[in-house]
Amino acid sequence: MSVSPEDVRTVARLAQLAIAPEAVEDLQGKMNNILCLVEEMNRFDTKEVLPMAHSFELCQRLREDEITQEDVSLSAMKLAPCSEANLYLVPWVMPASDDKTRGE
Amino acid sequence: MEWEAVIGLEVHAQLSTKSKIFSGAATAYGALPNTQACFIDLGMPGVLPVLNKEAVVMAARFGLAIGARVEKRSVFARKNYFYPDLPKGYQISQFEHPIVSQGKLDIIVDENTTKTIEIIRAHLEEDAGKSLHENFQGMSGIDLNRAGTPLLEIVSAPEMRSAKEAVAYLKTLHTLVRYLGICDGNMQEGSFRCDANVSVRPKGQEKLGTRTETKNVNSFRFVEKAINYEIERQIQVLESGGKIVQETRLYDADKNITRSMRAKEDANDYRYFPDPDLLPLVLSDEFIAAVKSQLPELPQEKAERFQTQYGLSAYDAMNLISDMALADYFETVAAGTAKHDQKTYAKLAANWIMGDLSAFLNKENKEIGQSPVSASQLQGLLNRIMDNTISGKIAKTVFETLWEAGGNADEIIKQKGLIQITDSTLINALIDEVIAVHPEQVAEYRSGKEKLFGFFVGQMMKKTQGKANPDEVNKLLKTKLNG
Repeated sequence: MSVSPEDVRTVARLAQLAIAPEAVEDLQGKMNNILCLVEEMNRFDTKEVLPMAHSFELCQRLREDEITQEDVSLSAMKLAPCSEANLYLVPWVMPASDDKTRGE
Repeated sequence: MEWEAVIGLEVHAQLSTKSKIFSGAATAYGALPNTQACFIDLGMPGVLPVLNKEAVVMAARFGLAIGARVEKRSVFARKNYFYPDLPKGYQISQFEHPIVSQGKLDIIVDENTTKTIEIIRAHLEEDAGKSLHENFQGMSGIDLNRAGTPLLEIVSAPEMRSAKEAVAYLKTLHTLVRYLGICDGNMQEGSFRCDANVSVRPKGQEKLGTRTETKNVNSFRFVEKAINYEIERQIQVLESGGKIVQETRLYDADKNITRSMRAKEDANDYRYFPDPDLLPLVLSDEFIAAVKSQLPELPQEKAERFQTQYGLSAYDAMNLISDMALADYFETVAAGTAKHDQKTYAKLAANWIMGDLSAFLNKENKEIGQSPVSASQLQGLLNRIMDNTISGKIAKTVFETLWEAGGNADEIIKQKGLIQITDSTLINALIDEVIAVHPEQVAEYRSGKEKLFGFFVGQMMKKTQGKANPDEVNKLLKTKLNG
């Protein structure tokens, strides 16, 4: 399995990274090297090995359904470059216009 | 060519917890923007999510109610995409190992059709915030109050074949989540949202056509319209030689159309991976048993009980149980039947509740809980119908007065002099008067124009202001006219 230049561009778009056209070939090589490493693992029999969800052999602790957090909007707003009417302002995004990565 | 629609629904049910799925911030609707988004919801560095036990209980309750497998081990995963109302750049969801899998839901499509729909999975996830696209200094506003609100995404198999079936499924699911107390079902506030996956294929073909996903349709009526529009649109595209593009579409209720929103991503594009901040969720047998022991009477069970206990039809029973408050109202009314045959009384109660009462409620846009006519007031009215004090027609007048002015049926009947005339001597005397003033109609009737019978009934009702017992009038009138 190997990645194509188109795969490199797709992954860059999904990760919102600007990649210079001349960098694509170099990145393609590096990504293929990673896949080669994965390919190496195929030499081992992993049929009996359960996929790990986490590096600790522990399970999720649960919390009671209680409101413990107070309104932090005053301090959080100070961190935002721009705000108005208690809303964080971001560069204009049209709902569903040319956005290709929005999921829910 | 004959086409067949294939429909699967994804429903996002907002779980009715007090706090968020991974933080202790409140989930109340309608708060001032961003006042319910804490540093965990904002995805600030150094914070860690901790799972809300109640959200897990609610998901398990749903799983048990649909006869699904509640998984003893499930895993949270990161679903990666960029949008300003998703502060972390990923949504915490479940992917390969959801908490609920393989359930089913029985739906009643119409009086003669029932169907079982498979629910492939239901998984826990957090909601995103809201983007407000009004113009704020040429920018968009972001409210993150909703970010981190717990959702149960319920995914059906593509087993529905019409918009009508899809709506029946959705309504059944809507009833169930409210019975279980896990979701308030408020569609306007977005607590119960539906995405419809629709494709078409030539009838008889097994291979599925390319599907589109219509997002966030927020009423049953719109779901039906959006799906019907989408089925027609796809058929037209295919019949004119075109191809369906796999895409996400939005329903525009004002124009009753769906329009393209974006190309549909593949699951790969979300680059799911297990969330390293969250350990696997492990549920013990005891935990699942405890949730099971607290399940309420489920809608399906209630519907079956209504059929056996009250002798209602499956259709009537389903209508009554669709809203728990309506079902409770019915049971309160039906309980007042000491003197009468229970099943006859219950059927009368069901007819009145689904007929006149529902019509009045709809007209004034009221819920059953806001009905000006209480269950005991309706009981009083039904008792007088049952003992023949008033006719069904007069009962409607009494009901209107109960609705508008309150009081009780007995007082209204007395005050307005509405007691039914059942005395056959009196009715016979009145019939004689009617016959005497309409000799021509009598002659026509006797020469074979039987349709005129209705005319005489009408005259009798006019004469008695609707108070004559209709059965008695029919019987005695027939004897007189034919004799």
